[in-house]
Formats: sequence, C-alpha cells, structure tokens
Amino acid sequence: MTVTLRQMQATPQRLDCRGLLPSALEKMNEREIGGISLRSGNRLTPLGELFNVTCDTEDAGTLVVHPIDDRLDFLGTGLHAGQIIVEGDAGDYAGREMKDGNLTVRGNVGDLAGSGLQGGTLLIHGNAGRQVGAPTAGKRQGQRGGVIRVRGDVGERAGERMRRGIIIVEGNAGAFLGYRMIAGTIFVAGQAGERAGYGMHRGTLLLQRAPETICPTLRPNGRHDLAFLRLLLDELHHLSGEAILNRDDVPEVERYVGDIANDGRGEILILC
Amino acid sequence: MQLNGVTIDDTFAEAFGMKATRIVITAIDHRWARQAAETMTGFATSVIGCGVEAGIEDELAASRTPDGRPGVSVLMFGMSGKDLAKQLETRTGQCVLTCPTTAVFAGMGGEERLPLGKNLRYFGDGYQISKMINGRRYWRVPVMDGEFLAEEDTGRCKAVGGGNFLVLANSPQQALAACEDAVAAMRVLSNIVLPFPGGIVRSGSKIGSKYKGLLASTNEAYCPTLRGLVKSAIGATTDSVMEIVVNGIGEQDVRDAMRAGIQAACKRGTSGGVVRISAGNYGGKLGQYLRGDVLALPAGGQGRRAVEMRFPLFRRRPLYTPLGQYQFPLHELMA
Repeated sequence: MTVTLRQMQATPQRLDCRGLLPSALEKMNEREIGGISLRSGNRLTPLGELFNVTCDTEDAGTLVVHPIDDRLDFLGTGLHAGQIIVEGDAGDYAGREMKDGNLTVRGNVGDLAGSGLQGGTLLIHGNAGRQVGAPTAGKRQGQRGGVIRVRGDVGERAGERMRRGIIIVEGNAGAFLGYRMIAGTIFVAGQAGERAGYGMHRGTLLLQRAPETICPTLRPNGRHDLAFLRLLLDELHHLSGEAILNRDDVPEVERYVGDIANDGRGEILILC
Repeated sequence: MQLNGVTIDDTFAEAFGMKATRIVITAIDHRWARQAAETMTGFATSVIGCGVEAGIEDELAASRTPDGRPGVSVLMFGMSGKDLAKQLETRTGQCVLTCPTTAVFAGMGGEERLPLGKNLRYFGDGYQISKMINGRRYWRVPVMDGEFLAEEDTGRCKAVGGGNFLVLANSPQQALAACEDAVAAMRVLSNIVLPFPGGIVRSGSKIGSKYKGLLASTNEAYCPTLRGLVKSAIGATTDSVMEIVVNGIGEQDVRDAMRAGIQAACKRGTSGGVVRISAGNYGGKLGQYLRGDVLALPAGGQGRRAVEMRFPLFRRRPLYTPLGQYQFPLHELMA
C-alpha cells in the first residue's frame, strides 16, 4: 500500500515525524493514520489536521510525504523495511538509525541526516546540513552500515564517528570531513573543506581532489596503485547510479595516513 | 566397444565424494597470477600424500576478475571440509601471499564458507585494513610490494574426485602423446581439474600394500615390467600405461571431461600405438564408500587388509554403503 501525506499547514514549531514508517502505516486506514499524534514543540497534534492522507494499493510498503517547508524532523527514523519518498525538503535527523529500506529526499535535508544509520540507503538529491551520519547525542558511534548518498553538498563534520558503511558526496564537503572517524568509507566528488580526516582512527576518505587543508598529523604516504581500489570504485560507480567515477582505468592515489595524533591508521586517498 | 580401432574396456571408473572450493588469483599480469597458482597447486596431486588435490581450472581475462586484473581460477578438493580449510589457508599464505602483486578472491558462493583472508590478515601485524564492499569483507594486508588483498572467505561445495581412465599403448611415447591430447581436450572444460603433473599419472596405484601402514602401492596388474610375474591386465604388446585422473564439481562435469578425454586419446587410433582404454576401479575399496562384500573380495585378502588399515574401527563391522559413490561405466559414457 502507498500512503501519501500531503502537508496542508505548517506548525508553529518543528514537527517530530518519528513513527511514520511504511510498515506501521500499511496496517491502518486513512482515518486511523489521521489520528496519529505528532509532537510539535510541547503539543501533540493529530496528523489529520496537518496532512491530507490518501492510501492506495499501488506499491507495497511505500510512504510518500509532500512537505511545505523544511521543518519535518526525524523522517524515516528507525526505518527497517519499505521506502519513504519525501517530495521536498526534510528537516533534521532524516533517516536516523535506519536499519534497512530506502529513504529518498528530493530536496535538501537539515543537520544530522543518516545519524547512526545502520543499514539501508539514504538518498538526498539536494544538499545536506552538518554532521551527516554522525552519532546522536550520547552515542559513541555514528553511521554503522548502509549507504548515504548526497547529490549536492554536505556541511561540516560529515561522517563523524562513522564506524562502517559508505557516504557518497557528489558535491562539496565542509570542514572536518570524517571527523574522529572510526572506520568506513567516504567519497567526495567535489572539494573537501579544511582539515579533512581530523582525528580519524581508521577508515578511508576517497577524494576526487585534494582537500583545502590536511592536518599535519595526517602524514604523506606517497603514490600507490592499490588493488582494492578497483572494487571500491566499481561499487561507488554502481551506488551512484553510474553518475560518477565512470572510468575504466584504476588511477594511482596520493595517500595520507593518520591521524597519528589519535593513534590513527586511517587514510586519505586522493585520486590522481 | 571400439573407437578408431582402440578397444574400450567394459568397465567403470570409480569415484568418490569430496569437498571442493574455488578461488580466483589475480596479479599484475597472467604470468604472475599463473605463477602463484602453480606454486599453490604444485604439490597437490593426491590427498594421500598432499592433503588436497588441486589444479588450475581456467585463465581469466581482466574483465572476468573482481579487481579487473588478469587472473586464474583454482579448484581445490579435499576429503573433508576441515582438511580443505587447513590446506587452503596454508597454501594461500605460503604461495599466494608471498607471490609478487597477487590478490585472492572467492570463486564460489554458498552458505558453507572457508576462511581465506580471515586469518591471513594477521600477517599484517595490526596494520591490516578491513573493507566491506558490496556486502563482502576484504582484507588489505601491507606487504613489501604494496598491499596483499584477500577476500575474507570463499565458498565450499560437494564434489566428485577420482574420475579416471587408463590409456594403454605400445610405447611410453605413444601413451604420452595420446594422454597429452586428452589433457588438452579436457582442460578447456570448466569445473574440473586434472591434479597430477601435466594432468597425467604414470604411477597408478592400488589400495593397500604388503608393507604395513602403506595406504597405496603400485598397481602391478598394469606394470609392463611385471608381466609374466603377476596376474597382468595388459597385453603382450602393451609397454606403457598412463592414467588421467579428473576431479570435478559435479558428477556431470566428470562425465563430460572423461568423455572428451577418451575421445581425444583415441583420435590417434591403433596406428598411433594406442591399444586400449580402461579405467581404475578398486572393487569398492577406494575412498570412504565401501560395501559389505569388500571384506570378502577374492583378491587374496588384500581388500580386507586395506580396509582394516584404513578403518580400524570398522574391522569387524559389515559396511553397507554402496560400492563407490560414483561410477562412470566407459561404454555408457561413450555411447
């Protein structure tokens, strides 16, 4: 069943959309869905007062949301099956702690998109705010699996405390890319900002070009021809819908290792 | 039955169940991929002495390998999953990891897995890097020429070992030429390997020996120099017998390979000195598949002794498992 939520009016404060998951909604009818209470500030508002709800039987396990602004937070939180399509902008924490399924945002997203993502795919067609894939407050690890693909730019500290999985940024990345990263892979097709890889422990930052600055604690390691790179480039090419990295040859990479101030064995690979 | 004048005996090849795995070795070019594979499979002719039987299955173009470099696929066969795992790890560690520019990948899917880079990664002494790509884990182990890339594990499956046929010819040169033709015809097929040197065995064996503790010994019935001394299975003009052993992933793979091999071996016909094609069957004494009447074989008690040596616990128990697990009657194959 496809559930379509068309936002009719904005709330005075940001709207918490936790719990709006295809698996939960497909067991309900339109009236029941309209009765779900959503928190906005310190108030609970029935969903039906804010959204026009329609259900049809076209695609199983699909939720389509048409927002009127960028203040719908926590969209797709805990998604474990099915798909959510946001036809516009999403607020903060889009795809938080996702376990499986697909969340597609056709506009921009706020901060902490894909926070603590464990599986599935988060696709953002616009730009993302700060701390993509970072841990939620009080957590030790950020993204732990799955794929986050941002077709635009990302803000500061993308991939913070990332543990596993892949982040693909087709635009530019802000400062502190891979900040205190534990492991995993981040690819940036555009320009990475200052201090990429700051405090990284393990993991790979694969960059199309050199970042604005590299910390002195990430040490130059020379040029290398790495066998695993072909596999990774193929995977990135596949994940990006063949939009990037369409190259037959495996290039050499300029490699930096560290962050040695953090006993790090991570790497920044810059495609030559 | 005759093919180009060559007599094909009304007998069957006896084969047995094994466990098999496939890996893909890549390198900077085919030469080094093949070098690693040949080193790995060199001492892997028979499970009796080598612990595993292995060979190069195919040469792979760069477009067919995971990392886009030239490679080869290797098949390994063991009597148990445990034996296979041990040999795979040892041989990969000593022969592939050490070989310049190589990388190793799983060549087989499936639920049953054998460790590949899983334990070899420790050679990296803490500097190894794990990468999860497309749901598979790879290990990047720093080595002196760069990085050794190894996939975490590879698949394992049931397989068939010991398919064989014997080429009886007038001279060693003629037997060898016919066998070389057979090997060339068989090696174009997938899912099989010919584990012996050049694919050919000149020392076909029987089970057991007069010497205690020896599991296999020369098959005197086919030794030209013992003609007249023992009950010989070869004619007066046959001066050389060579055997081709084939292991395959499936029964049909072995069947196809034997058929192709026999056809090629008979191509030269009697004018090429090829006299007969026969096959090795051991009255059910081969491998782990035995039947009750093996113990009462009229082979001078040799069957009983062999079984007792190999399966001391079964000494006084009747065994009812079928004769061999796989039988390949030559006439049926060539019909």
